Amino acid sequence: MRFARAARVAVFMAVKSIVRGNYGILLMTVMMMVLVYLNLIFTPSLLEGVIANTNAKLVDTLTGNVAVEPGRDKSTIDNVNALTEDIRKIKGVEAVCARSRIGGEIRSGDENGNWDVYGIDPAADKKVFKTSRHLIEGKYLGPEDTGQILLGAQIAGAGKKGIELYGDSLKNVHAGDKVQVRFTNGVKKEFTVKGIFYVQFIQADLRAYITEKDLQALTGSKPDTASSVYIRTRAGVKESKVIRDIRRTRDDVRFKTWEDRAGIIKNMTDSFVIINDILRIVALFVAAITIFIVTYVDLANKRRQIGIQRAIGIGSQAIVASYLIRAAFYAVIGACLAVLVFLYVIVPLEAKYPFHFPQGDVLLAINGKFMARNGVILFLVALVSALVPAERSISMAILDAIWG
Amino acid sequence: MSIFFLLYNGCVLEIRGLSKIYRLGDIEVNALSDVSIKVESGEMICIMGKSGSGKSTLLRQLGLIDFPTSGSIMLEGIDVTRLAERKRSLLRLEHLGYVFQEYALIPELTALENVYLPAMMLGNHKDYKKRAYDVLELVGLEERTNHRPKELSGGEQQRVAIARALINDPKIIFADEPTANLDTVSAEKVMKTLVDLNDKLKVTVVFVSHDPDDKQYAKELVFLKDGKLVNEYI
Repeated sequence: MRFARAARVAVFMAVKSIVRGNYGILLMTVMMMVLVYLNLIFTPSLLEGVIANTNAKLVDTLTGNVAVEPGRDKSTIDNVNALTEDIRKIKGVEAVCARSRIGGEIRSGDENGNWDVYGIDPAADKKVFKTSRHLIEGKYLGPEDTGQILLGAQIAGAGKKGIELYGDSLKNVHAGDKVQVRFTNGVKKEFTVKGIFYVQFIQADLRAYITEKDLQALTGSKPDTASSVYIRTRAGVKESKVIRDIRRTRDDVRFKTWEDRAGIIKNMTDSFVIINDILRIVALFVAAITIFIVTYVDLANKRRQIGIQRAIGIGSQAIVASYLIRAAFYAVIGACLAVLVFLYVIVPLEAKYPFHFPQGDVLLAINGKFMARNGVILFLVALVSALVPAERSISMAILDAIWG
Repeated sequence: MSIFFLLYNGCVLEIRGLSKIYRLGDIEVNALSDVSIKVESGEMICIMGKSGSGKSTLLRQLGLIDFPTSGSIMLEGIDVTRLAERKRSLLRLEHLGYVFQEYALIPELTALENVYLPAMMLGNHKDYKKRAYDVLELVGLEERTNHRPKELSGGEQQRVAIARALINDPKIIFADEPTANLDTVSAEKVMKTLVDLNDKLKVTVVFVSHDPDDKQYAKELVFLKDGKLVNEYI
């Protein structure tokens, strides 16, 4: 009962203090909480956006969700048509395509370089990968195309001096231009550049694509073979389940998920996670110190008043609790306002003027759980930060509190 | 503790051989030396003395706001001298009312809210708002219940403080120079309020004053000089 009465008094004092206190100070404190919360979520959201963007581009342009590769000591997958048909029937598979890789020297005028050239089935490839959505010039390959080549922007250059590897590119090749390709088997052929794509993902933009039909005709590779088979799974389907199903029909192939292929990207992701954690700890310290100062200054100003409250018999715990309630109020209102500012101001603004990273334009990631977790953390930090000065103020002798 | 209060028939408050020494660096100041007083129920005692005589220090010891250096304080026969602060706080809330020299009201609360806060904390009055209104009426402020301290005069604020001290039906009300910051008219109103409470409600009142004119309000006088009891005001 005594606890309930103390809690009631604490809530009463906190509410009256907020409602009838200085609105300027209240506004400033809540604004500070808004900034602290935004500080807690902004950079991690940006880094998460970079990670999500990188992962999405990896899946959408290079690896699909699952890559099927030749078995040990083999350079190609045999019976690839049967394999792709079997995979297509597996529940959870959205699309499947095969790619054959061959090295080649591509030349345009005095500029040349060695890049990977892939033979693809444009129709099937388009269902697995989203390279066709990133064309900056020309058109995507058609199934019946011959003598046509699709170049990544880091190969063609396309006059875009700002791209990362422009110096090593063909510099000024555009759609409709002719380029000479000499494949690693010695065959040489002139191709017309049908289109140039710019995924803004260096590994993807360093590739060239021709039709599988062209590749077979030029290199004499065995029909019904491929270097790799790529699978796009439906949303929510686990890659491991698809791999398990394929293994039942074929045991002469190996599997890699997009995460297995991440390599350098995984290192970058891990570094981002560490940076994220460091930034969060710093932001939490800022939050703790801010709330501590706000409470400390408030308590310093009200030292005499608190002394009088104690002198007339208001329990110390009720006084401390009233300060904790106020700190909690600042944190909750601050976090709620910050979420609104983040969702309805910062995210749309950033989407309009996105940050440009080597992986392309990055959008801020919105993660409800992450925001809620940070809200709870801010709430707890606020309570602890208010508790310390509040406890200190009530441990002071009443006379010292009233008369200094 | 209540059972002891019920069984005890002697004085409300008694202090025996009370001393208080303040330390200011290496210097010791004897604010009170071997003071013994008995406060009988229904009394109106005025502690008088010049500035620095120790009268406020004595009142703070009586009101359980400060700890004496030596001696004992008996509240209705129970030794409360060395009680832990948590228990002292409850005693102050339940049995003692304190009126400070400076009005000491909470600025964010209205007069009514300032008055019912201790009742809300103690929980002895079911309808504490009604009780607060009644005590404000008792001190003549029923028209000012919803005003905040800044909207009240000094005298009104002090009467709100008296109402606050009164809300939990205390055994004693302590008032530390309650009229020190007031004009003559307001001071007279405040002192008349205390006298009325003592006369009509039989509330025991102990107040401190340095003004010889305040003798008229007291039934008993206690004179202090240099922290010691003396026979008359010098």
